[in-house]
Amino acid sequence: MIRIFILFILLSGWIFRASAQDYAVERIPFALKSRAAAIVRHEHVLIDMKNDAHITEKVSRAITIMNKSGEEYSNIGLYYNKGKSIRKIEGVIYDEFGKPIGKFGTKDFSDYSASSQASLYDDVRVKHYTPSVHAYPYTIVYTYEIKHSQSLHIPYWNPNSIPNIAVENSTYQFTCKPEQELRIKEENIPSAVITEQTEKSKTYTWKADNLPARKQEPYSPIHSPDEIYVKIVPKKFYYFKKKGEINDWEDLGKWVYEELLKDKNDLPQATVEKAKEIASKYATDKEKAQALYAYMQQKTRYISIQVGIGGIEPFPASYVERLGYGDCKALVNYMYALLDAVGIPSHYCIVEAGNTKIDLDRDFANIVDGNHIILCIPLAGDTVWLECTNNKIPFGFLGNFTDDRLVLACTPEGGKLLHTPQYDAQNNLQVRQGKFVIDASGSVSGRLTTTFSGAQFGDRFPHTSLPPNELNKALKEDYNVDNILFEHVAYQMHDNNADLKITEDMDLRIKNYIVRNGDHMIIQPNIFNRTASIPETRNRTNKVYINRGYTDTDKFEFTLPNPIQGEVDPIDKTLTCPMGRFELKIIPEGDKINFSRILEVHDGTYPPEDYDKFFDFMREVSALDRGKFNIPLVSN
Amino acid sequence: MKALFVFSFLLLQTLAYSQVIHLPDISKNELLTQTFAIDTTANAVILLERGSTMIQKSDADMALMVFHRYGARTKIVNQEGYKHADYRIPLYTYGSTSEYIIDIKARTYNLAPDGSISTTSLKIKDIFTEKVSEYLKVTKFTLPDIRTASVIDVEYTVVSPDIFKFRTWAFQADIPKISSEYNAVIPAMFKYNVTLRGTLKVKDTKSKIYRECLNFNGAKMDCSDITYIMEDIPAFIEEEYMLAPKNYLSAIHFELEESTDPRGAVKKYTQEWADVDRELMSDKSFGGQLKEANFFKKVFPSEILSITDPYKKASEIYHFIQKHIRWNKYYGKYSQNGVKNSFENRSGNIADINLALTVALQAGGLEAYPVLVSTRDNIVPNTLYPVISEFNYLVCGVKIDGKILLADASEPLLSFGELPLRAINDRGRIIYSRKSSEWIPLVNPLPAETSYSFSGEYLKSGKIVGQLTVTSLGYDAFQKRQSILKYASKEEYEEKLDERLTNIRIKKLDLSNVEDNTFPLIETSVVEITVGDSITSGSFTINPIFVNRTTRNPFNLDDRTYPVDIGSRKAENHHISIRFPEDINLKSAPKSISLVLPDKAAQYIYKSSFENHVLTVDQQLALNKAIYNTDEYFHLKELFSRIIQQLKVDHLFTYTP
Repeated sequence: MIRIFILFILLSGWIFRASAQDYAVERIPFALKSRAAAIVRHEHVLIDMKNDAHITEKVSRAITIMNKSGEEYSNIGLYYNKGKSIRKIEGVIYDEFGKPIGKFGTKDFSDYSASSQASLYDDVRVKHYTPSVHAYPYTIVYTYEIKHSQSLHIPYWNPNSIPNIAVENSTYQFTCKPEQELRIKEENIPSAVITEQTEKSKTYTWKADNLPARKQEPYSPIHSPDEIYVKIVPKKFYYFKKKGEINDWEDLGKWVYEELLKDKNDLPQATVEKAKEIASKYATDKEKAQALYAYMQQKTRYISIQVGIGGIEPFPASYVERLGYGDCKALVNYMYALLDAVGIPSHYCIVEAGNTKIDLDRDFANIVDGNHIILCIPLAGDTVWLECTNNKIPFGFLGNFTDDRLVLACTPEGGKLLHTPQYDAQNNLQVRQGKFVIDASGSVSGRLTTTFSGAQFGDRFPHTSLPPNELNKALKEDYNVDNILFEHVAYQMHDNNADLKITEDMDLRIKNYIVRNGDHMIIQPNIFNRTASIPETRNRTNKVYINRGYTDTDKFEFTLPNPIQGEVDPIDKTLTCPMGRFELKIIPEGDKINFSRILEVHDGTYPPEDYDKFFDFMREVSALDRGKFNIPLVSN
Repeated sequence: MKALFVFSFLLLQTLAYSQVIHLPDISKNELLTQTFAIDTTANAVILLERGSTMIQKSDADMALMVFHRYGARTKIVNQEGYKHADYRIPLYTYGSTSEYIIDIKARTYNLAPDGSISTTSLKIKDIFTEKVSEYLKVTKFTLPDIRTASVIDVEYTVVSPDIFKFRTWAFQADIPKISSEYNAVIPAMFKYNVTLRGTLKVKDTKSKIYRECLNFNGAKMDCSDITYIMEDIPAFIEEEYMLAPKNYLSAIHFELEESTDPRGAVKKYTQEWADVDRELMSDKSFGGQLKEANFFKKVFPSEILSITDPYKKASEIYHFIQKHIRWNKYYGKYSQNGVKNSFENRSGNIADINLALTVALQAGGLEAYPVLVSTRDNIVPNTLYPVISEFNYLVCGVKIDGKILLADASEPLLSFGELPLRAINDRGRIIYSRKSSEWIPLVNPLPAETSYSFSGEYLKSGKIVGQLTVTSLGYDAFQKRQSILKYASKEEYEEKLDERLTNIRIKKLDLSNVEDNTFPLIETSVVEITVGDSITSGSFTINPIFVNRTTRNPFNLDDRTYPVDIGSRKAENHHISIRFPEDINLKSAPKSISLVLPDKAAQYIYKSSFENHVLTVDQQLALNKAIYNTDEYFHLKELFSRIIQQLKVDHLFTYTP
């Protein structure tokens, strides 16, 4: 008994003891220290798939925190829910010289709900630990085990996802039965996978060594081109009592439809009748859909509730009918059911939402991609997309939350990859016009009209539902000019089929905007739209990526209190670069100054060496935007 | 301290007194009314709100519990008001006992097309309770079938073991209320301090006595029954640069003052500061921690004890504790782990750290005391009488040369004698002994100050080359240190700085005292500035305030209701000197000006001169107060407006080749 006990101590202490001196900071290769806030000294992730419902994830990791900037990487946050339980957390902290200075275990972790403020309920919880170490650098070494009871969502390997962490070595191992069929996707792996097979098991091992921290540069592509990925999904999987087989997006879409959506369009008969009655007033499917969308918008509201199977199964239409609320899944399904009631087909679509455009992984079907649901109505020659979590937005408008990206439509015939509409520089417009009078004291007053369309429509549209005091505050942010006052602010929507616009009209007055200097007036004619310059980067390594293009036009006419004395040279400048175009015209004449400015920025990906051109362009634009005019006036 | 009130339960009996409030029946008119004179722009309006609090015997808990009954009828005016149908009710845990919620009833009323009133009730299965942490659970629900013009009724009861402090009744909220009524039924054996905060007046107070409401050990006891009514309560709107809304919200606060047991023995809770002082100093997790001087004597590095200059010694001890114990992000006026344990495990809450600092200073032979603080996001402490529960934080006051210096060792980059912004909230209470304490203003001795000094030369290529020195003091230095240390290395900080200042190229950057917070933070750099600010040809213009030029007004609101609190005095100075080639002449320059607000509350000076081909510009901005009243808001607005005007004017130079 005693012997076993001793052996046990030796064994459990072994993982730390054997390697203790290895954690001395001086052992870190010099090249890895550059730009690294923290360095993964050692990482080993073992996924042991016993069967569909029993997968063990064993992780051991040693990470050296170099200085205060790496502090956040010493935190351990382990999420869990019904399909995921955490076991056996233990760890040791080493000082700079590799001497142990502290230990921790499960009891040192705080446990709290991971649900966000925005969520009414979410069954995900987190265990969290922050070490208390004062002196840098130090190393935190820990191991833990997670039991997964589903096999659709197995942790991927992505060792260099954080740019300012360097990796000394990282290993990802996947073990399963020899007959287990897997789908595997590798990206940028530094060395080929090693496979071992015995009668009882097969094991895949991927390794990466000496991955330096990466430089973070502005306007970089969403995914760094050297990010390492291994994604594994079993062909046949088990997910919260549901089974399935997936080879591609078509299968995944079919599975979602069959297992999560089918029969969820259970509207009560009264609602079906109501939908039919609404639709009967309109001739075309599009008009019917628009009327039903309006009905859905006034009947429901968005409330986030994430319960049950990993947050991917919608509540049925009857649930939304009863409560008048639901999350994105439930509301899309409800809208689908309303359309279905009048015989208009539509598709439940999985999308990765956010201002940054992220596609689903085209050639690797998986359930991790996507975080939001929208509805697609495939009308003949005119596909309509619906965001169902907003009570206000116009029919068919997606905005910068889900525009221009690859989504999965889940249909009875299987999944289909579709692309949402794009707003580019030609239709992302802000067109501003103003006529202003400058009085003798230098105050400016006049009327300003601005029209927003494309994604810029979405920027301004929320203003229409603000109460007056909030609107005034918001406008003070939009037109952040000292001493500005707004009056008679009005918004008007124009919805000419696909061409959605909003116009803002207002009277404004800016006290003392123009500085008088004797008989001269110092005027900055570009009052509102001053572009900031962009950060400079030296030795650019990443490609240049512009997520969304736009065109802004500003045209103003200023009437001066007195005519201009003598001649003042007009300005006529045009700048171009691969990413954009800028045009500035200022014509002083008589008692008028006419100002016209157009800035176009084009979305796309450009070679790294073009960044300097973009930088120079934006710097010049920024300087011209702030240009001042010293105008001599005829004295009274 | 949180040991709860345990009376011998079996001897208690609540008599037939229970006033369960219910909301009145819904009227069609309430569903039809869509605009309210009190606020025509409100997204939702509370039509009526009723609360009652009573102390009663609870059979389920075998204890005397506080029953908070709440009921509200809310009109959802439009879709923006939908969020007022969401309820989140926090339930706290005190040691082994917890609050819990009972009798939740919620209904939504809508007007059906046929003119009848439809009612949809909240179902139990649509109520969620989430354990947020060891100390907090939140019951969450939202009402069903919400539409524009819906009216909702919500009623529930929170049962709480916390007899010391009732839940505060807030008359004012972020939406207007037509009426709010609060009723407190308190057995005569308890006496509470009742404070009404905020600017609004209570319309009516009704009080009566309930005879024999409680049977205590056979003795029948009366209860006082007081109702406070407020009507037409405007929404509370938060403004920038203000203290916690709690300070201005109209609300009633309760704090247990004394209790009398059936034998007539009176137990006082918080009445006089003398009582508080005695209680705190006898408490194991407060005064008890100050007995650990011997422990700290042993752990000090020997050189500390040999320092003779008291300031230097205090500063060294401060840094010793600051470096040694790490803050676990919990506030508190009571020690969580104990100072000894915190020191050994290098982790503790605010009280652990600053009590350790206090006792360590005492161990070093200095006069040091704990100072109770209520944080900035909490309430400004009541100065009429002690409300101990208002304090949630603790700092240390150390007496050097007859003056008290305040110190907080929880932030590794803070200088000795400085407080973090969170601890600056009106005044704190310094506890000298079991018998004496007094109020002490919580202010930082130094203003938050940044000085930019530039000396250089104008080159005909259109560039200015020279040396820029940025010196930060006080809170500015603290914040800057934090931002510098976010970068992995000095080089990366330099890179980012260079990227941010697009017209300025930083050629060489030296940082002094980034981690040594006993001295000012100094950033020295060789810079090259591209002057390209003008679009007129012939001559050229320069605006020498290259860095941090004021172009936007931080005080741009048209109305201001509450005082402006910027945390500390502030100062910003520019001293620029540029040498020009001999054939370049200054044609015009902005006028030198000096602006002063009444009582020197703020000051601005701009001076420009050109002598011997050297342009010298001095700019000084000083905000001499940490708190400005609402009138002064508009003075500040005007001051900044004038500064912006001033900085719009450039220096115009001519050049004749």
